[in-house]
Amino acid sequence: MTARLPRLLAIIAAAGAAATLALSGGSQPAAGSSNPQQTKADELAAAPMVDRTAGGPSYTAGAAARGQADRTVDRLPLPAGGNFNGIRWEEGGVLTAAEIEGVLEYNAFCQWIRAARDDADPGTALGVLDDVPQWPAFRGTAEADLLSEAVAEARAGSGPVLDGVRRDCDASHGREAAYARERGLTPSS
Amino acid sequence: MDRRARQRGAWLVVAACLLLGGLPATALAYVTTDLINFDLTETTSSYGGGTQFHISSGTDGWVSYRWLDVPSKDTVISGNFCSDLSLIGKSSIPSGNTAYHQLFNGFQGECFIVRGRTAAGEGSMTNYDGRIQR
Repeated sequence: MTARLPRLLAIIAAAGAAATLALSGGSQPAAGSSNPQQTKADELAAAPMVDRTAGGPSYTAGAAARGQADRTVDRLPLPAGGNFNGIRWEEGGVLTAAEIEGVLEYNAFCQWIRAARDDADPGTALGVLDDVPQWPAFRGTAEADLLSEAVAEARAGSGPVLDGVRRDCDASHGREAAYARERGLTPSS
Repeated sequence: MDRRARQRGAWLVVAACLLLGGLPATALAYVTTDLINFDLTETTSSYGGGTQFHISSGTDGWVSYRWLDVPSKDTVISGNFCSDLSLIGKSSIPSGNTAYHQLFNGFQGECFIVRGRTAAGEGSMTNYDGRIQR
């Protein structure tokens, strides 16, 4: 009996870990998730692809580009304290709606990559990240493969692609916070 | 091992060192992408509706650009971060120049978009192809 005790404890621990994983989102988002961020991520993954070759309106003034971005942001999932205030729309020259969507989606991806590392419970972040390669700006592109690699490495805890992406996202966060403050806006956390 | 065998062994070591030393360094694993019809005006715009690129693994991190078609105007080409559009680096390319120009030095996984414009007073330049090396 004494010899069987460690094995019994290991089984109980494994069952507990599995239950925790299931509660935190697991490897795949549950259908009809009650988490609003996961729901947004799922909906984006099912939305039509961004057509970068399509014409459509261009935004030459920063305020117009920021306005277009503001009309779009509610569709995008963000971690707690996240926002898009630090994007330099005012330095963008001519921007199309497709470009604005691409910048917003990559910025959101960065915020979730940081959340997957920094949050006490990374389950939500990892669940959202699973959807990112299928988002409208990335789906079917060469960049989606790299994003998938980064997400797989985020799940594994480390990897060379993830290292580069995190470095990129951390640096961006620093620049964004400075730019948002410069403009009197709340920086993302 | 006799003296002659030791000498032969020493010569083999020297020959191997010379051979290895004379080999070229490992080639950098740049990836190139052709930018078809990178249309420019005097206002900065992005290639391909903001197509996003990443720096490849196995390179020294330099991202460079060249025109494939001989450019008729002076142009300015830049790399900007995907996440916040801020400028990473740029290069001014004179008309007629099709050599590679370094835009910036980054690291594997760094995401950027390619932006460009013609120089002030030059007007627009359409249907010219370029190439990004990353």
